[in-house]
Amino acid sequence: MYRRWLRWYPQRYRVVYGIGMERMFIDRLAEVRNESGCVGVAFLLIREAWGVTVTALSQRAERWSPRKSTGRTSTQASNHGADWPNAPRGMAWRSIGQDARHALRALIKNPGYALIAVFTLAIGIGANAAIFSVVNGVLLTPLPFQNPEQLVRIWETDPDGYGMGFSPPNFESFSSEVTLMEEMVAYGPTSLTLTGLGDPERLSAMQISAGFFRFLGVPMGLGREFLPDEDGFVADPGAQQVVILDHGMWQQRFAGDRDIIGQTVVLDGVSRTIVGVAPRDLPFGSDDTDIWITWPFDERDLTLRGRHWLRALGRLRPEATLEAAATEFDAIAASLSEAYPESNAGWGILVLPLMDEMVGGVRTQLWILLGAVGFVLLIACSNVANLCLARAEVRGREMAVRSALGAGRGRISSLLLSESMLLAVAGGMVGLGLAWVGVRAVLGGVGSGVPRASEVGVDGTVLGFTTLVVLICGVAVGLIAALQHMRRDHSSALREGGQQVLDSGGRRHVSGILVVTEVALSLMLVIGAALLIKSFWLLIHVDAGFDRQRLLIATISLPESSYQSDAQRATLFGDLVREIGQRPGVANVAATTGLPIIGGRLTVISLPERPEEMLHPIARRRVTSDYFRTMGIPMLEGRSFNVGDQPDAPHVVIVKETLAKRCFPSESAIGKSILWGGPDGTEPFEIIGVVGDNKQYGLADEVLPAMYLEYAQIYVSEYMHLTVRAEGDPYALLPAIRETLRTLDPSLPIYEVTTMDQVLSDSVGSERFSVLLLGAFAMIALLLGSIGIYGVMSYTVSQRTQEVGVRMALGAAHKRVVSMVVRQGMVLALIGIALGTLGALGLSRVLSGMLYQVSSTDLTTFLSVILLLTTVAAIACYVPARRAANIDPLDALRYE
Amino acid sequence: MTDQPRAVKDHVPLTDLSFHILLALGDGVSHGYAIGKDVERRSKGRLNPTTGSLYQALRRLHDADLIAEAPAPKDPSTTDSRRQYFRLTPFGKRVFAHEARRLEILIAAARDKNLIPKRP
Repeated sequence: MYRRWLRWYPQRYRVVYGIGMERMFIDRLAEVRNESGCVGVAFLLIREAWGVTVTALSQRAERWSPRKSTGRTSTQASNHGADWPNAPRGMAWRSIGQDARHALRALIKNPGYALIAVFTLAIGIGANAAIFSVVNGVLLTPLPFQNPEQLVRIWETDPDGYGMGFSPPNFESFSSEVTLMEEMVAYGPTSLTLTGLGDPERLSAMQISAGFFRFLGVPMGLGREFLPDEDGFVADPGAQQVVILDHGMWQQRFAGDRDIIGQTVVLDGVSRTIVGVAPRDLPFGSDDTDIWITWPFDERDLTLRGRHWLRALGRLRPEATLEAAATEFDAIAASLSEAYPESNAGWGILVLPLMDEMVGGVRTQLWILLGAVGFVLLIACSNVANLCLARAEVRGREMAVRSALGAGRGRISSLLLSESMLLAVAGGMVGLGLAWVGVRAVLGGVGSGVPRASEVGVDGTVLGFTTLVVLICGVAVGLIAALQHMRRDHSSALREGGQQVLDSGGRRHVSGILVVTEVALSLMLVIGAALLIKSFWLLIHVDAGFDRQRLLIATISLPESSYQSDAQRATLFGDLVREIGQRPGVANVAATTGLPIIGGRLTVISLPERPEEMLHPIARRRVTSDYFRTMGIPMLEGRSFNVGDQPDAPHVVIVKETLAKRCFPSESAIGKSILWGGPDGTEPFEIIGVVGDNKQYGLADEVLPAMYLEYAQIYVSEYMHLTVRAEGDPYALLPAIRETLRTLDPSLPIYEVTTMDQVLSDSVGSERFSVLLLGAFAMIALLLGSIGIYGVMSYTVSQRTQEVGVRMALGAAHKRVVSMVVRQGMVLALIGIALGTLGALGLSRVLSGMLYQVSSTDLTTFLSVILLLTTVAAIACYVPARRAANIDPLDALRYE
Repeated sequence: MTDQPRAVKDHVPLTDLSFHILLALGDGVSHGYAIGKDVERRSKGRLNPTTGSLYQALRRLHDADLIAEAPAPKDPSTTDSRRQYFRLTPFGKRVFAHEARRLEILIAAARDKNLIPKRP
C-alpha cells in the first residue's frame, strides 16, 4: 500500500530511495502496532500520508524549477528563522496540528474569502451527501429480511407475456412441485370494514399465507403468526377468524396495549380474534396496511385456475440459482399447460429478485441524480480552487518574501494544503447539516415516488462517504493551488515591486481550464434538467381521453355477509347513484369497477368467427349508464347503457375505439358480437356503443383496448368507485354523499376519497421527484458557474489594471477595452459551451428511459440552453468589463 | 547530484535535522528506521520526522555528498536486504567537524559571559 503512495514521487527519487522508504515504513508500522494498537496505527498512517504528500510535492517542484543558486545549498538552514512564527528551524518536519493552526489563522484574517469558500463547498458536499444517503438507503442497503438475496417475487405470465398474479390452484401446484425453492408464500391487498369501534371505518388489509413473517425472517411484534391450520389454503372459512394487527395500527388505534391478544374485532360483519401484532417498520407492500388476515378462500376459489389474483414471493434454496429455478418453473408451467389447457395454455412464470422488483424502477433515476450532484461538486471545487488561486496571487508577494528567506516549497505547499483541508472540513460539516435537513424535506414532500424511503437516513456509511469526499476535495483544491504556486518564479515577483508579472501565464491557464470545465459541466446539467422538465410537462398535459376536472372519486365496498345476492348489490349501487345525482351541486354521477389511470381487471375475448383465437389483454370495467357522460368520454357511435339492459335482456357491451378498430377494421362495430365469459364458458355480447380511447394504466402508457359491461347485467361486483362530477369544488359534495350513503346503509363507510386530479398527480410522483431535484441541481450549477466566470474575469481585470490604464492613456477607446475583456472571457465560455454540448450529446442518452415523447437530443432544448448559457456568460463577463472601462488611467498608472 | 559546491563553508550552518542525521551516522552504518529512532531519542522527542521528511533530508545530504549509500553490514541478525543503509562520507565528516567546532566556540563564548553555567 505504501508503494502506491510512493508513486507520487518523481521516478528517479523512487528508484533510489523507494525501497528504503518502504522498509522504514514497515518497521515503524510494526513498532506502533505493538506499542499503541489500532489507534496508534491510524495516527501513523495519517502522519505518514501527510509527510509523503508534502515531500513528494516539493521533490517534484524541485525538478520542474530547480532552485536558482542563491549562494546557499539546500542543507543549509535559513539565516532568519524568525519570519515564520512558531516554526521550528529547518523544513524537515512539522506536525499537522501546526499546519492547521497556521492555516486557521490565515483564514480568520480573511473571513470573506473563507465564508464564500466554505459555503460553496458546503453546497457541493451537502448535495452529494444527501443524494448518496438516498442511494445508500434505497439501493445499497440489503432488504431488512433474513438472507434477502434469496427472496424473489414470482408472477404468472399470460400468453402475451404480461406479468399477472397466481390463481390459488396454480399457486398450490407450483409451490408443491418446485424443488429449488425452500418455500413460497402468497399475499395480496384488500380492504375490510371495521365496525363496533366508533364509526364504521374502512381498513387496508393484507391477505397472507400462514408463516409469512417467519418466511421473511422478521420477528413478530407481539403474539404469534397464523398457524398452518388457519391458512386459507387448507382451512375452511369457519376457522379463519383470526387477525394480526399491523404495528402502526396497534400503536395508534389500540395505544400499544400489550393485552390486546385475545380480544376480538368485527371485520366485514365477522368477529375475529387478534392473535398477534406484526413486526414494526416492515418495508413491505404499501405503508398503510392496517391489518393482516388469512386468505378467505372457499372451495370454488381453489378450483378456479383462471382467476389470477394472488401475489407470490419465494425463497430460493441456498444452492439454487435464479436461472435454475426459472427453468424449473417453466417446466412445471408447461406440464400444467398440458393438464389444464383451457386455463393454463400459454401461461408461464417470471421470477425476479425481490430487491429488483422493489427498487428497480428508481434505480436509473437515483444513479443519474448521483452523477448530477457529482457535477455540482466539481463545479463547486473549481470555484473554490479559483478562489484559492486568486488569493495565492494576492499573497504572492508574501509568499515570495518567505520563500527567499528560506521557507522551502514544501513548507508553503503544506500550508496551502492545510488551508484547503480546513475549508473542506468546514464545508463538509455544514454540508452534512444541509444534507440532513434536505433529505427529510425532499422525502417528505415527494416521498411517494421513492420506495424504501423510511430506510433513508444519514448513517455511518453516509458519514464515511462524506469524509472521503471532503478529503478528496481538500486535497484536490490544495494541490491545484500548491502546484500552481510552485511553478511560479518568485524572484520576479520581488523585483517588480509586487505587481504580478504577466508572464506567469501558468496561473491564467489553470483558472482558464477551471472556468471551461465549470461551463461545460453546467451546460450538461442544465440540458439534462431541461429535457426532463420538457418531458414532464408533456406528460402531465397529455390528453388522457377524459375530462379530469372537478371529479370526485370514492370507493364503496359491500360486505358479503349483508349483501349476498347480485340483486341486493345492484339495488344499493343503483339507488346510491340515483340519490347522489339528485343532490345540488352534482353535475353527473356514475359508478365503475375500474378507474382510468389506476386500472381494472384484465380479461380475454374472442370473436365468433374465430372462437379459438384469444385476444388479450383486454381491460374490463363494469359501469353504470351515466359513466361515459360523467367522465367526459365521448360516445363515438351507438348508445350507452340504459334501463333496458337487465340481466334477463340480451347481453350487451360497449367497447373502446381501439378494440373496435382491431376486431372490425373496415366496418362499424355496432351490432357485431364478441365472445366473453367467465369460468362457465363464453357467450356472445352485442356491441351497442363505441367510445373514445382513454388511458388505462398511466399517462405514459399506450391505450389498452377495453370493454365495458353494464354493471348489473352479468354479475355485480362487491366494490365500485363512485365518480362524481361537481359543479364547483368536488370536496364540498362529500358531506352530502356520506349522508346519502348513511340513509341507504349506515354501516357502510366511504373510503379512498380523492379527486381525479390528485390521482393523476400521484401517478407521476417519481417523475416529479427527478425533475425537481435535477432542476434544483441545474440551477445551483448555473449559479455557481456564473459566479465562477464572474469571479475569474473580475479578478483578471483587477490584475491587469495597470495594463488597461496604459492602453487607455494611449488613447484606446472605452469600448475597445470593454470588448477586449469580454472577448477573452467569452472565448473561455464558448469553449466550455462547445465541450459541454458534446458531453451532453453523449451523456443524454442515459436519460432516454425517463423521457416521454422527447428525444434525448432534442434540438430546441439544446439550442435554448446553449443560448441561455451564452447570455449568462456574456453578462458575467460584461459587468467586470465595464469596471475595466471605468478605470481612470492616472489611477491605474499610479498604482504600482 | 554532483554540482553541489565542495567547499565546506558552503554547507554550514547545518539544519537541525541534518545535524542530527550526521550525528546518528557517526556510530557507523545505519538505515532509515534506526536513524529516525536515534534522532527522536537524542532530541528527546522534539524532532520526529515522517518517513517522507526524513528521506527528503537524507536525499539532500546525499546530493551534497555528505552521506552515501552503504552495503548492509554482515551481521545477519540485524540486517534485512531491503533496508537502505547509509554512511558518512569523508567530506561529510569534515563538514560535521567544522560545524561542531563552530558551535563549540559559540558555547565557550556563552560560558565566558555566564549566559550558561560553566562546566563543573
